[in-house]
Amino acid sequence: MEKITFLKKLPEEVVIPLVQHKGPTCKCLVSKGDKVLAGQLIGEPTVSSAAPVHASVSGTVSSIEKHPHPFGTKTSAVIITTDEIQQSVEFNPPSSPSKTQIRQIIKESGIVEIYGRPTYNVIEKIDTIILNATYESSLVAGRVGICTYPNEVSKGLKYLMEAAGAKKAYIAVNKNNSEELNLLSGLKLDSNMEIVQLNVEYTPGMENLLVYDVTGFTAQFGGKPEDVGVGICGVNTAYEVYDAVKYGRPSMRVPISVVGAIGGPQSILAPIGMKFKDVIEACGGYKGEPGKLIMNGMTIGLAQYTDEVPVVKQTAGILVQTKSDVLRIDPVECTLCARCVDVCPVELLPTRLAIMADQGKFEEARMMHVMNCVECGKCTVVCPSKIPILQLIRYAKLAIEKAYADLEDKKSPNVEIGEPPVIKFGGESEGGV
Amino acid sequence: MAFTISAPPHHREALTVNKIIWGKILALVPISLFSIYFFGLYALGLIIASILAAVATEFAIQKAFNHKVTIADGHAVLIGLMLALLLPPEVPIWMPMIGSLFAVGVGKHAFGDMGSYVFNPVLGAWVFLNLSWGKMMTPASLPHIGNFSDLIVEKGAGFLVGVSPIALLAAGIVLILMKYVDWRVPISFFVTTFLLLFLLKEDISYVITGVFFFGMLFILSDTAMTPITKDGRIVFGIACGLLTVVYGYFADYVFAVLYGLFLANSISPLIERITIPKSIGGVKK
Repeated sequence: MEKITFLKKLPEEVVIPLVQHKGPTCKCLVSKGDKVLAGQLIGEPTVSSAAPVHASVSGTVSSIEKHPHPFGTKTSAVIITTDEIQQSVEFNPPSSPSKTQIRQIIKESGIVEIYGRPTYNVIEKIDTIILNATYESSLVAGRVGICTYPNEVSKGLKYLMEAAGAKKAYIAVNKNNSEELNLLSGLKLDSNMEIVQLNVEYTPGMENLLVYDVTGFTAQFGGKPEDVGVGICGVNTAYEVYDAVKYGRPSMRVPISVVGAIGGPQSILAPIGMKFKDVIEACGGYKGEPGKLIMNGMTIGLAQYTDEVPVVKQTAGILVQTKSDVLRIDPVECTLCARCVDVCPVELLPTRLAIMADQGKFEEARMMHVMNCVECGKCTVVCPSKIPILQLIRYAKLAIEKAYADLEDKKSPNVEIGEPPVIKFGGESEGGV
Repeated sequence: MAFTISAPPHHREALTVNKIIWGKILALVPISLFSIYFFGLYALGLIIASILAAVATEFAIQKAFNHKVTIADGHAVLIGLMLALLLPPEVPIWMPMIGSLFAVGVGKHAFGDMGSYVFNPVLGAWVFLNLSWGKMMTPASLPHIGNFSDLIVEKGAGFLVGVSPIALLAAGIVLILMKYVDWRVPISFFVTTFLLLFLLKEDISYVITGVFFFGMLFILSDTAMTPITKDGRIVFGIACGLLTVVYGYFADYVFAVLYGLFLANSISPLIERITIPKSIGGVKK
């Protein structure tokens, strides 16, 4: 059974971005030369949809500057030179917290879901919680989490339910992962917690589909699971909630699966702000010449242009491909083999949508429900013609979103497709996550 | 350190279009060998003439229109081979060449190359030859599976493909198991046909011929002629079975399979249009 390993030595410096969620950057509370302790608040949220940022190590603030963020932009970050002797702020958790107290603790500890929303935002108005433990195979930290500390996760889930006032919780597990299933069935779960076995791996972006598959509620695509009263939480966030309520520790560390062309692939608990290159060094360094550095898995992960980027709260995996692993793809014509249709979890016709997007027929694509695409990337993986279907669909989606951005909500006359989601432009988010 | 950046996904399945096409060609090698063994070297001549004509036509068209030459993907080879197998062994050597020219030139390229053509090029060319030179295209005898050994080597075969139903069946099943070919169309075609034959109390020994298995497992595996929707493929198989039995009930089952598939081919876009799935989440609950 794979367990999470711990760091032997802290890195010399950490880079803590002031935005680690979808939304605006936090206000910086420290300045250059300040001494900070582990767990100290360094970024204060300016709006309610933001999560506070804490120092993950104790040390001296060496500078506050723009630094590459794993989501592709440059954001303000606090760079801390680590002390040799680590000190942390004093945590004093309440002995028997009430519902409002737990809510407050979750809010202040800055826990963020893997899809980018602060957990306390997710649990604000819901009556059901789904714990998503079905990550894709190259991104196992969430699953290893359940294997390493199952009791803590279930207790964390209980706290979450209490804070949200939820009546029901589902633990979504992948059918093929027998190890995890055995562990969970050995646990003493409350009567209102239920284990659901599913075939699909629900990657970030597929929350609405998970809600549909588990509860049968149709959350509008483009909307949020909370619209139908369901909140989706990760395994790691459940553990962090437990940690925060029980010991008062804010969100400072994340478990990361480091896999691929690495000396010693493993799941490691890394402090937030540790640079990717330090993490890889701690896991045995690169094996051969690296060609691609990917955060969060093969299928939906983001390729990084530098290994200076820090670990953030949304990081769950680091994957290294060698030069020869990097794909060079030469697409040929579609043969209408319909493999993409067979794998699509939301029953779209990806090949048709890709062709429409390629020809600029966006309105037709919208009529074919292109906006329902959950961007899981399965169609692109199976395509024997190697057509970049996912990219073409994203292109169509973006064009449609732009076209409808300043339009009043209006129903399409022919197809009942719901209101097109409105995206806002300009200024609001610097992190652009 | 330089890292490559690209959009996800960062991995692909190993299956490519080239592998699927060459896999099908490989699956047709046993039946080709059987027919050469049975009909003599002249059959080999027909196959080679057909393949060469198909490849030459594709090369000429792609050169003439300044397209990328895609002979290496094997599609022209497959068309040539499949067409040659659908001919009687007595036809003159120019027949497969004209047929391949029509299949690749009109059937495939006039409609816009792989994946875009409306009619299966092989079926189209076969119908073209049959209507143009009906007398020469009529097989000398109709196969009849009297006992089990006829399934292995059928002496009454009218077409090259008829010599060994079992070789075709085995090769086709391997293709389905390897996921080179989707199971939906062949299975629904097979089930519908046999259900109707049972209801009409027809003698199935005239049906389980080489042409039937060739149609079910090789012609119908051409994905461009089948609908892409999941339900559509089942409906398409049913339509194929229905048309085959209607034709065969009043005539014979060798021509019935080919004309039945050809007619079903022409309604395939309509089937696709009525079976487009309602995407999950498209409807408010």
